Amino acid sequence: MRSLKRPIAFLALLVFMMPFVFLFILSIANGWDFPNLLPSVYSTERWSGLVQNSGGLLQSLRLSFLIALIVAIISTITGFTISQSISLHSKRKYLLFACYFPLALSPVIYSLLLNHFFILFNLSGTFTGVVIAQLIITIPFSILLLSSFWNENIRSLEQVSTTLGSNLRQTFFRVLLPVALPQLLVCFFQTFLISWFEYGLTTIIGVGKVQTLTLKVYQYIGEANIFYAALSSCIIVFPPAIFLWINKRFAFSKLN
Amino acid sequence: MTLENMLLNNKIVSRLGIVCFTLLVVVPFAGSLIYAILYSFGLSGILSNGFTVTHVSGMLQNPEMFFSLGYSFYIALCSMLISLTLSICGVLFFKTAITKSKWSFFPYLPLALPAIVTAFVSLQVLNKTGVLSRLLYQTNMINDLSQFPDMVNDKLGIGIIITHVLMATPFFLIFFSNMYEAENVKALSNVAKSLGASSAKVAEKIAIPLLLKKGLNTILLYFIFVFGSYEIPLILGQQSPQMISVLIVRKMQRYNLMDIPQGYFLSLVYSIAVIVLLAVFLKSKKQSIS
Amino acid sequence: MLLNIQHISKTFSTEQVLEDICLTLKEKHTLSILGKSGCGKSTLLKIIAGLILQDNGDIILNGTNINRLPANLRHIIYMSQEPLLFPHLNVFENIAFGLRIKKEKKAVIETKVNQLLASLGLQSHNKKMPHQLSGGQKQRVNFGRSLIINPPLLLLDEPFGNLDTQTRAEMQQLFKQVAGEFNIASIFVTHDIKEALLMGDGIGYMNAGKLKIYDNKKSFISDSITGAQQEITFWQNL
Repeated sequence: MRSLKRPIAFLALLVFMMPFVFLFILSIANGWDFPNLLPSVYSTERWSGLVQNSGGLLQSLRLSFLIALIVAIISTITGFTISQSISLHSKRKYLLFACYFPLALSPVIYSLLLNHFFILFNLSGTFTGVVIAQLIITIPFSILLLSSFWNENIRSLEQVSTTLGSNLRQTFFRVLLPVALPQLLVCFFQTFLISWFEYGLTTIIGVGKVQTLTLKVYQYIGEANIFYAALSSCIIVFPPAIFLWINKRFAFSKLN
Repeated sequence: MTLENMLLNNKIVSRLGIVCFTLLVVVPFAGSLIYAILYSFGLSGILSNGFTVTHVSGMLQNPEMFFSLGYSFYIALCSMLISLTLSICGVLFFKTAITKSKWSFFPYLPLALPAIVTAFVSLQVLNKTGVLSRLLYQTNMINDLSQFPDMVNDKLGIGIIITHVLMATPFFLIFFSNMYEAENVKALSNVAKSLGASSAKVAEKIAIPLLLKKGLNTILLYFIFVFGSYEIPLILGQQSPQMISVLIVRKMQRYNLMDIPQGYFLSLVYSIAVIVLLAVFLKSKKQSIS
Repeated sequence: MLLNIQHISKTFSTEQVLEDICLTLKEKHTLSILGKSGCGKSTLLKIIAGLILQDNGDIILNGTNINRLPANLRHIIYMSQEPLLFPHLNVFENIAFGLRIKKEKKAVIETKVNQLLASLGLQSHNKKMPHQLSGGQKQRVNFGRSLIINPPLLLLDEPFGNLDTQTRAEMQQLFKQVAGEFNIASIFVTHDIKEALLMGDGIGYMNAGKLKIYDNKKSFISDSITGAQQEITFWQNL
């Protein structure tokens, strides 16, 4: 069995890396005729065209980034404060359980059920509407993620800080926030990724007008334009890959 | 500020947090379900004419809903069984090297792929003119495209299952590897071995039951996620039966207004199914605590 | 009289945790309170520290009723069994915390902290993070963090409960030494009879929310409810 370890590990590594390599190759390909295993002609035209906003990709990139950033910041802050309130409540178990429902529902179905209200409040097809819709699924997620922070140990640390002379503001900024930082970073990255990757909900609430990167991928797949689909996929996946690396190296290790 | 004022302020801030929670979490969820009930029974919507069970009975008599729910369940079950088997075997084989060795970043890589991109990659690998068929053609295992089996937009949902397995396996590899360390499975296994158990028995009686039991909640949540997945069956699925999310979107986004109440009813059935599954998940948690 | 506790009572839900507690404490004195787990001693200390609000009764500190004063303004330090060092700060910064809150000058902080580190035998550990310290070292840092702001009153809730016998004995010696050096009054709560007799100038026994203060250690030992006599008999018969 031990002799199989290396080949199995090698195979697994190949499978993990294959999508990234494949997407990159396809993004610089200029034709991929059957039955060639790899494209025969390559060009960096598509990548250089990115800077000129060719295909609207640069705009979509900016839009996706802005939405994800706003959603991540608001849901992390909101989740942190609401989870504190919940931790002090006598029915906290039930309140936390309630957070699972919006999370477990398929975002596209949830957005269809909410769509009527977004139309009612003139939020359908708008940037704000998409942000609010994404917050409706990321806030319960961050509440659940950050609820474990508010334990007896943290409460005791708050009390120690208070008896040493700190007021509420000082305790928050000098003790709670620094201790919570690794967990807050994890929450920020996770909610950023949830927003960054979101397709179904964005399509329904955005009505196709809020053209994020994921919508671009689907559009190019629909047009059978696999090279632009690959390019937009590359743009989608490389930032999260870097985020995951930072998250794993710094935030996860501090949490441990 | 006096002690009473401080405690009062704390109470006000705490109550405010609960109010925000209600507005941001409870109200949208409850509101959406209530609206779905109203629409399904003709009490709201463009074509509403007062209470009616026409749409509901129409949907219940149409096998489409049951086929879709059954198909979604089948896809979720197959995907979960395969990925759980692969990931648990991976953890038992490699143990904590998955998350601790110098190669430990690689299992995290697939987490950077959204469903729509993974579906696109699967499409390009598994379709008739994809990487796999080209490989088989180049190695003379097939001579014609028609000899390559249907793996996307097919009846068995092979493409959908493979894609979900590609996404779920790395996730569970990392999850179970962390759990393996947190639950000290290695030490427990050593105890079992010292009592005479073979490696196979240790895996069967200690490691696997422990990992599955402790990971039950996450497994259930992931099952629900696959059950309701949208992007992957949208790109790789067939016309009929469709997975539940795709069917609901199709019903509610069509120009046929009569389909919309049916779509709402389907969403309601799906939501109730999820709530029931979650209630089971909470029950299991209560039992394990007692 | 530094501290005067008058008729403190506290009920949680339907359970009466403290019933008509009265005690007095002179400056520079230590009052030991012996009590089993669950007798209400932690609740009493937290009420004195201002972390919990009592249902009835008064807390008079230096002649002033401090019932309505918030915890951060009472200058009463509460030390629990767990050292509870701030995990994101090293030893130096943990000890300096109270002074930084008061916005003390940098040079003053440096001098005071270094002096305290020397008294506590922690000079070589000043840059270490809490997770790098042993249980005894953590408790020393906890002491340093409390003493540096010169509190008039220290409330110690079984501070050495988690330590091994030898370290415990060392910490008991250290406490008596710093209490004398810093002229601190303290209430020392413990479930260990020997520790209660060793640490306090005065002694009390707490049971089921009620507190009995003894005139001297002799009357404490002769009262059978404290268990002191049984302990002495055990060692004598060994």
